[in-house]
Amino acid sequence: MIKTKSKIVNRLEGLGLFFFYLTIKIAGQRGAYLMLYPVIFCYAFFNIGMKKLTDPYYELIFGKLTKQESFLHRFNHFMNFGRLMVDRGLIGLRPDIKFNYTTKGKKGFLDALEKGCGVILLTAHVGSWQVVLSAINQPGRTVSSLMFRDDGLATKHFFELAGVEPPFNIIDVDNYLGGSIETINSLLNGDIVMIMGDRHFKGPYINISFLGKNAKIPASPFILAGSAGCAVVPLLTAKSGKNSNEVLIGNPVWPTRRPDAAQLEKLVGPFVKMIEEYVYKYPYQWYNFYNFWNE
Amino acid sequence: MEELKQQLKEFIINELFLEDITPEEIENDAPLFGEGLGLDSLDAVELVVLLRKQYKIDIKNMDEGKIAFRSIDTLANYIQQNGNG
Repeated sequence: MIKTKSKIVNRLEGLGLFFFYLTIKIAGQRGAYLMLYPVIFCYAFFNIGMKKLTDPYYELIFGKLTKQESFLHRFNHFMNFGRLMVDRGLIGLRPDIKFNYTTKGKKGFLDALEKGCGVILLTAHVGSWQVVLSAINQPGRTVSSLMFRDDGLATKHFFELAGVEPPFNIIDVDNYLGGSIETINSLLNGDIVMIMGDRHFKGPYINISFLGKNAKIPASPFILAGSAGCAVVPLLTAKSGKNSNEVLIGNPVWPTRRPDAAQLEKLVGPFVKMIEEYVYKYPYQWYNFYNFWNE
Repeated sequence: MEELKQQLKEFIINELFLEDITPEEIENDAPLFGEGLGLDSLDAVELVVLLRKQYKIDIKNMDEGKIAFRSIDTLANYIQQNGNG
């Protein structure tokens, strides 16, 4: 799980980030993307540990891999993640650069909000939050994100490092009772709470087939929604071009209070299916760099 | 006050579907979460919703939650000080 890093590691990370942001500022988006190539090449080539962690995913998508294919998938995957990090930095450093997006399925989300309660936006480790925020922004509705506040500098967003007001409210999972009090209050106030639904840390889960092998998918967002009487709306985003993105919004589901295992499986199923369709279309944009099926 | 505590114990057992436990077995000063009664974060969600409905009580943030959700004693105190129901 999360470990506290030493001061030296933190300083080195800080130095790395300084040069990263400096590159973005000086070289712009295209220049920063170009700079990624040698860095990612070395990382993908020399980090043997990553091969073990990511090959199970590539094999489920692409079938049996040669060493070269494994490297290429890793390289493409990390390049996409690198571009995402550059885009994140650009939001803070270069507000003149605009990100466009197209949205599919927004009506269901708006209908769910109309019911009076808040909405849980169930998302995954894909795409970028800034696109999500632009796509779902509704007047008078606060957006919160239930997330880990990792102490690692590299995982922080630009606004956290710059000490400026974040564009959404962060509810820390490490807060008292996992942030559940703030989460339920947000929902009862009619606000929007984003939860990553594709990575299980603790709490109830459903063992369900994902890409043909059983994986643990968190059930808590659905139980939470059942208690609040609100909808769960799946949402995934993908980078479809240099500055263009696709926002895919699934159908809302309305869990009952305290759903049993069979009901949870029915609720989790369509979300997993949506991620499966997504990863077949955008295999290098699902950012879970660990053996998802072995946890 | 004792009546409210008894009511809360029954309320928690029934609404959170606790099995194999009676109100008499819940000690007034025993922790509700973790060790003690063993409630978890999803039970906290239920409690916030139910307190709102039943006692018109808002647990506005985690600081208030930390105080109110410590035990039956603290929950009863919190309701008495803040309740309108």
